[in-house]
Amino acid sequence: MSDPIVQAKGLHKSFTYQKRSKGLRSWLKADYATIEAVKKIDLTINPGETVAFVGPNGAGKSTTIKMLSGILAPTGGHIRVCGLDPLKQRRELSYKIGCVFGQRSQLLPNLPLRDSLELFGKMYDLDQATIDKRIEELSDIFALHSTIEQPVRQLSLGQRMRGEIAASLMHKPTIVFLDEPTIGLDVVAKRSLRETLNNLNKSEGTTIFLTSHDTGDIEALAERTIVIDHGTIIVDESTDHLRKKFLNKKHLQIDFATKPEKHALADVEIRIQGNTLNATIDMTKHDINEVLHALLKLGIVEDIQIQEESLEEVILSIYESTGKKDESAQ
Amino acid sequence: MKALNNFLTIYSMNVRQAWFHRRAATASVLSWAIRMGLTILLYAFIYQLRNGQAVNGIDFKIAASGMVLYAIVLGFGYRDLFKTINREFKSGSIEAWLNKPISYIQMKVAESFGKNIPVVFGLVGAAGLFWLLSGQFPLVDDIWLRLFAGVVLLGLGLAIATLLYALVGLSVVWLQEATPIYLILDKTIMIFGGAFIPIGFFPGIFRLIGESLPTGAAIYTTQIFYPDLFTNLPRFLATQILWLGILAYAVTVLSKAANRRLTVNGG
Repeated sequence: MSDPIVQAKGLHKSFTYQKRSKGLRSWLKADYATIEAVKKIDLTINPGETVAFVGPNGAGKSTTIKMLSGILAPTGGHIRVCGLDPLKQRRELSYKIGCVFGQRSQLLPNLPLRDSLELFGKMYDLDQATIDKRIEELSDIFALHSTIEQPVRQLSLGQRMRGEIAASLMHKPTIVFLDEPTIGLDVVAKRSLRETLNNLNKSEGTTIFLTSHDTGDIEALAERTIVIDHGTIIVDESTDHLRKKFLNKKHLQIDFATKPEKHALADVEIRIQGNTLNATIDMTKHDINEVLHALLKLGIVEDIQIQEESLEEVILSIYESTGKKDESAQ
Repeated sequence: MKALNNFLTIYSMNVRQAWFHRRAATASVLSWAIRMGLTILLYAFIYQLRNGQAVNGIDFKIAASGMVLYAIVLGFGYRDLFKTINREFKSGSIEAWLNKPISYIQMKVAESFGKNIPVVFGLVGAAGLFWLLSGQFPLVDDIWLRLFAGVVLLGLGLAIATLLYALVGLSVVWLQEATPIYLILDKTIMIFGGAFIPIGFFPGIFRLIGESLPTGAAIYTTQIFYPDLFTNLPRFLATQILWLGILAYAVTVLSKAANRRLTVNGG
């Protein structure tokens, strides 16, 4: 097996800030407080993986991504990305990584998208022939042919985001860090971007490391999900396994021919509206067969649907299980 | 060589971008031209009161031309560097540029010069028009040699001013709010650059102190028509080279320290 593309051990980051204090004393002596943003986390990512790094606001996602990409200096710990120290070898590392921050633009707003791609190509020492070829390749992957000659400021948000990602891939990085890449995009643009990133991962073998609040991104893109909260990694599982492991609830909807009779199931959350019965079954407490058997006796069944929890609910239940729900809501 | 190539690439892209800012550039040229015109009118009034007599060896043509040169130098837009760094640090958009194979400061300098080049051309045109229509071009001795010296002083001066503004820009990483320092620097450069009063009018020791500061060294170009230019030129060049070395070192050290200290939202 090849060496990990990202290896972090005991990665730690704390910030100090000046506390506001009243009176003359604050003019003479400032009080400082420290925030532990990332607390000694260990992280290993292998080449070609697609990893989602999720967590509530302030959990430490962006701080981690910025340390891995050499933007922020860790307070402690050891990091290697593509075999390089991100802070000490930032320039060498820039040739191996691509970064996109969903809310920041690196494109030249008044010039056609092609010019920005050319600028990035030149910045990464590509010759003109290679730049032209790469622009063609990326235009195919990201469906940019119709927008490449348009000034960036005239692109839609979704088109611009595809352009941003394409610009960060001009130099064929081995890993791309995406911080909230689908933020603000509509459902169509999100789907298109997710498909594009999947294609990129398959066609070029690019490792994708993304942070997102959108569980749709995780489901569509990530083979592996890492959940961070309060600067600590609380879950690191394959996305499939994560769903299975934390999938404790099933939603059941039964349409009866007439209003169902009263039930005698303890601890099962049941709501009856007209002829429809909705039940949420906690699989850790009940056997689905027993619950179904009991419910089907309540009347003549016309239709039945069983739904699993969404990934969003799974992640929420992870936060809840670690007692962090209140903070995540802030 | 690679750094220079990157600089020129970013510069040329921003020159192309500048076309889209042509209205802002035109407004900038007009505002400078109006300011230049008003100051020159004030100078004319002072010289009229003195019956056209020179002040400290500086006649009206030289004083007016110093003002014209000052406007051209400021047209390069090095002051924008502080504003850009300050804005990008506060908004957090600095993070998009820190993982590129070119230094952030170098990139922003290239951007700033590229965007402002139309203003420089506009101001050179306005200056040419002023000299042509007013006939106030100081046809002093050794004019070509003076213009050559002016180009050298301008190049060094731009480098010094850029480093000064970059230094103040970087201080935002520690201070969070560096605008007061920027204003002090900016006004000092204006005073010693001749934005209000030609530096040739200053009393001897005051002039020497002003010229010895990096803020004064940044804008020696305004003195290329002064009678004592060649006497002062070796001192000017030495001062500029000295400050260039000190400031380049300071910016390098501060950039590295800023990298370690930087915080952007979300981290």
